[in-house]
Amino acid sequence: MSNRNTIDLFKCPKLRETCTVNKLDQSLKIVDNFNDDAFEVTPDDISLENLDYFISLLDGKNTFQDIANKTGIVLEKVKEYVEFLDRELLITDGEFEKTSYTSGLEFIIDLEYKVSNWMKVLDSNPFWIELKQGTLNKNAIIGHTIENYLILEKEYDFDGPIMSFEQNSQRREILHEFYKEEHGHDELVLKSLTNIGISREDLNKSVPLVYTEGLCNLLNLWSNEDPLSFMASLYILEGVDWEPDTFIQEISTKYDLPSGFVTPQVNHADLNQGHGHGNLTRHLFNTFTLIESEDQKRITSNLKLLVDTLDEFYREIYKYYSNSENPLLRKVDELVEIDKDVLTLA
Amino acid sequence: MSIACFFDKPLLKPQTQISKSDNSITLSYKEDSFSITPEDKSLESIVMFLDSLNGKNTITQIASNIGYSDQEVIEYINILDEELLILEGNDEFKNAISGKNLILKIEEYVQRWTNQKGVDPFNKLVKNNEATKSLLVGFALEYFYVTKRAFTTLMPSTMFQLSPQIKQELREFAMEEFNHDRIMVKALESVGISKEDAYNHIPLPSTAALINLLNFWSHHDPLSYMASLFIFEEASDGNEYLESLKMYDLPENYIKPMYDHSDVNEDGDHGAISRNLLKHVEYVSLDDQKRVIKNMKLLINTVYAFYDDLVDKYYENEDLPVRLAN
Repeated sequence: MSNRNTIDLFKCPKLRETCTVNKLDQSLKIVDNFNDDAFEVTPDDISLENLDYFISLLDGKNTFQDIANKTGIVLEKVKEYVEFLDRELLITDGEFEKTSYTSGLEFIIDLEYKVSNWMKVLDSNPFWIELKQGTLNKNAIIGHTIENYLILEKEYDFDGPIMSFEQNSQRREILHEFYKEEHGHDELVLKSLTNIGISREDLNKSVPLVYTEGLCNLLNLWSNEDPLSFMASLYILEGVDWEPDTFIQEISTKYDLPSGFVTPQVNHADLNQGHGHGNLTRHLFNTFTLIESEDQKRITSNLKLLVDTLDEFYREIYKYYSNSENPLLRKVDELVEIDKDVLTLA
Repeated sequence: MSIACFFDKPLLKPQTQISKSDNSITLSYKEDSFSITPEDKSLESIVMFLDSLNGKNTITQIASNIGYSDQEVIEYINILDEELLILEGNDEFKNAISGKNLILKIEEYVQRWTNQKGVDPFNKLVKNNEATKSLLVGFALEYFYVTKRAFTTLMPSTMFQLSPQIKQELREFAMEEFNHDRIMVKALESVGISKEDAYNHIPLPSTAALINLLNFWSHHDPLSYMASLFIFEEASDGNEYLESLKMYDLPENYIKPMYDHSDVNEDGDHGAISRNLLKHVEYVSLDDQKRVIKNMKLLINTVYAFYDDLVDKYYENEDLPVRLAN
């Protein structure tokens, strides 16, 4: 007997399709046509007919219990016989064919449905309410652009890692294309800011808001450790119908802002629209034959967390930048201090 | 068209031998030698040129010392560079500091920032015996999420290509943090949260923001990772917090795992972890210092955002606060 002790891994044991069974006078002859192997089984404790019936039930559709019930052979014996055949490497498992799995496309389309429901939380987010009413403090609009720039500047860090271990050629091509198309977008949005007097140097000396970094680091985490969640998240951030188009539309129609500030962002939104990055996730998931249920659960939870984080992201922008006492940039004084120390030393 | 120069203060490799004959100069460096036969310059001026390559002069200074144009100086330096005879003389690290001084600086800044911000609302409520049960359970749930993530968060750091002492410390630290989730989940079970729900709980965005800072540094930024560990450890090991739990009507099985987890951390002297790691770092450049300081500022902001968020989301939440996605 095999001492592999893995018999319970089999769910619906299946005799290999390369095998044929010949009934002889006293025994059954199992011929493996793949390697021209054959051996005979002579039953001593059950009838030849029942053994034949037993083997016919090894079709990948019956569990051990089903086979026991149908043949009247006790469960432990059923397992023992299958284990015997497994030792000859004649058994595979049919559970996969029996169970219905969720395809990549099916999964992602269901997930989009859930996400669109979760996204309704933004309808009660003060940033979006006021933006659409035309009453949002202008600093909050500039603040949104600052935080958006800080994300784009960090985007290289999270668009990169996923490509280092994506071996599927179709997905690799999609991700490469995406990386190339995203390259340089930070510079586009930076123009908006330099046009209103916010310099790259000053931005470098400042920290982003907590949830801006939080958003980036979700993507960093998934790009480094959980490619499925990363690919699922892309469409949300790459502009489904609400963002960044809605933002651009609102600020160019309802607010009196310098064109040097608005135009580069319009160009950026147009560029994204042209690349169709909102459809990336569907194209990526279309390459997966199936998504396992544990993966589905994890990705779903992760996207809920992403939506919750987006909600906090906009709330924090609203709260911080609407307060006129807060400076636009959160400069770290110690960085100025350390530069002074260096000058003194020199 | 002007030619670019790679060097700020070119230095002829110190072991180079210069020998002069009637119409040429030969430079010998180890097994290689290179001859110069000038056409439009005097041998004397070439010798002066070579002497000025002492690592103290800029291109312009060299040019004015010997009466060449900047472009001529660059051209000749590039010829010598082709022969691999030039080093950069502007090689002083006066702006760099040791790893020890980096962490001492960070400790000062962190203290300053926390003093500026004051006691956070969560710890204030807990210590004044004003926390609700939902707040304490909510905290445990979020804290559990952090311990659950510890394994995958800490492991990448053990692959940093740093000195063997640092690698050893990083491995030991990571191993001591393994499986704390198994201790912490017992606290949650004692207040009616099933193990399955605890593991599937979707964290607050602020909790995720906090642990994912560490995760990013563990993958990509060794200095920020090492500098930040003492902040994470101090934030999670408040004995005052543990003491104050006694004031609340909580099951013993809720409090004990918290202590067990804290004991492990105390035994490992985890508050000193950043010092123990960074003391092995020989020097830290100015750019690196700036990046680490900025990151630590962001970390402190995130720790406070986390405490604010806890009170905001859990203080008045009567139902069990587990969040699951369906």
